[in-house]
Amino acid sequence: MNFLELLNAVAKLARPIHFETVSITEMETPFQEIGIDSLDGLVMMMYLTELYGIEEEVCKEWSPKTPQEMHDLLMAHKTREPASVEEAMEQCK
Amino acid sequence: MIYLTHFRTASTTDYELFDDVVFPQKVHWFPDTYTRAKSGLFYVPHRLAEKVLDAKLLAYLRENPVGKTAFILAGGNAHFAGIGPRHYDNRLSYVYKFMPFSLTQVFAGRTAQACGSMDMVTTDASACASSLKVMMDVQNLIRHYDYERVIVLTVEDGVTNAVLEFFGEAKAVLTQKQEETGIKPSAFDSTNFGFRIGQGAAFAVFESERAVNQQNLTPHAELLGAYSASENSTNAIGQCENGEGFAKAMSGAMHYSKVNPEDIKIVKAHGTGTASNNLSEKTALGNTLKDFVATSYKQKIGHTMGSSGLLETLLLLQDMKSGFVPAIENRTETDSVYLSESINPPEGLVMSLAAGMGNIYSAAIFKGL
Repeated sequence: MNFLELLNAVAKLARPIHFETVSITEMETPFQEIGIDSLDGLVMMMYLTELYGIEEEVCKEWSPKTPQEMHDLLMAHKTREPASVEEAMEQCK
Repeated sequence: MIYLTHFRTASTTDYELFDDVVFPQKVHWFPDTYTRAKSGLFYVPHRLAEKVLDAKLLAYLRENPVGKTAFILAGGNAHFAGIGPRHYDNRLSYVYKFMPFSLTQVFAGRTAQACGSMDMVTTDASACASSLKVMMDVQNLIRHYDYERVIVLTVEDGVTNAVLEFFGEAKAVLTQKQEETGIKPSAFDSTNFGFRIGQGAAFAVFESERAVNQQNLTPHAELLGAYSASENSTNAIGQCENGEGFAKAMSGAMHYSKVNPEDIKIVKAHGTGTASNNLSEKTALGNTLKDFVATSYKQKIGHTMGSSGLLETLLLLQDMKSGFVPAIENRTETDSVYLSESINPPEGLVMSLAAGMGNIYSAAIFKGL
C-alpha cells in the first residue's frame, strides 16, 4: 500500500470540510509546510494509530514533523495494517 | 431590523427504549450519531452538528461576506465539553480521544472557520435556555455593535448516561415504569405529563437589513427582540410557581421588541410538562399575555436541551409556513389555548420561551415573513 496515498486520504477525512485539499507528495516535507496544522495532525495521527492498532498510551507522546517520521513511528509500533487505502477508509467511516 | 435568512434543523420523532440506564426511559435519538463513538474517534455532538452543517450553505456564507460577522455556539449544558459520558458501561459509554475538539470553544472556532472570516467566535452554556438566550446576543450584536451577520449553531447530545441519570433522579423525565402505566409525554395537561430526552441541532443565520438588501435575500422571519432573566429563587434547579422568571423574560422581550401583549398571538412554550413548569409557565403566560394560543414540540421530538429553544422555534416557523400551528401532543382535554388540536396560524407575532436549570428564562419575539 502506498503510504502517501493513505496519508492524503486520511488528511482529507481529518481536515474541516471547507479546507482546501492538501497534496502530500514528499515523505520529507514538514507537515507545517504542506498546510497541515497541529489540530489536523492530531486528528490524522488518531486515525492512523487506530488503523495500525497502536494503543493511545504508546502514541500520545509522538510528535512527528514529516510524513517519513510518521511512517517510521507507525511501522515500529504497528500491531496490524490495512490491506488497502479503500479498506482503511472503510474502517474510518 | 434583524432577519432570519437561512436555517437548517435536525431532530427526530423516532424513539427507543433505553433499559440499560438507572431509570429506564424512552428517548428520541439518531442511532447513527453513535456509530463508532465507542472507538473514541467520533464524538456524538460533532456528528449531530454535521447534520445541520450544510456544505452548500457554508460555502455561500464564505463566498458572500457582508461585514462584521459573529459565530455563536450555543452548547447548552456542560456535556458538550470534556470526555465522553462513561459513568458505567452500556451502549452510551465512550471516551473521546481528541480532547481539543471536545472543548466547546475550540469546536466553535473550528466550525466557525467553515463559515468564513469571523470578527467574534463565542459559546454559550445557559443550560436548556442556551439557544434562545443567544437571541439576546444576536439582537445586541446587530443593533448595538454594528454586526451584519450572526451565525448560531446549537447542538447538544442529551442522550448520554449523565443526562439520563440526572433527569431520572430528578424525576423530570418520563421513566419506562411511568410509560407502562399509560402516561404519555404532554404539557399543561391533567393526565399526561413529562418529556423524553432527545437529540437535536439547529443552524441559523441572522442578518441586518443592510446585509439582506446587499444579497437580495428573502428572509424567513424577523427577530423583533429578545430578553433573558432570572427570578428570586432559592432552588437553582427549580422554578418559582408564580412564573416570575418567565414573566420577566416575556416583558423584557416585548419591551425591546416595542410590542404590546395583545400583539403576541402564538407562543412556542418551553413545555416540558413537569408539574413545576406547567404551573410557572402557565401562570406567567396568563398574567402577561392577552389573547394567544400555545404549542410545544418536546412531546414530538423530545427535549433537545440547549438546542431546544431555537430548534423548536424554527420548526414552528416551518409549520406556520405549511399552514398550521401544531397541537401539543397527548393532551387529554379539549383546549383552544394550550392547543389540543392543530389550527391555522392566527395573524400576529410569535413568542418563543425557554427555561434552563440554574435559574435562567429566555424569550424571543419573531414575525413570520
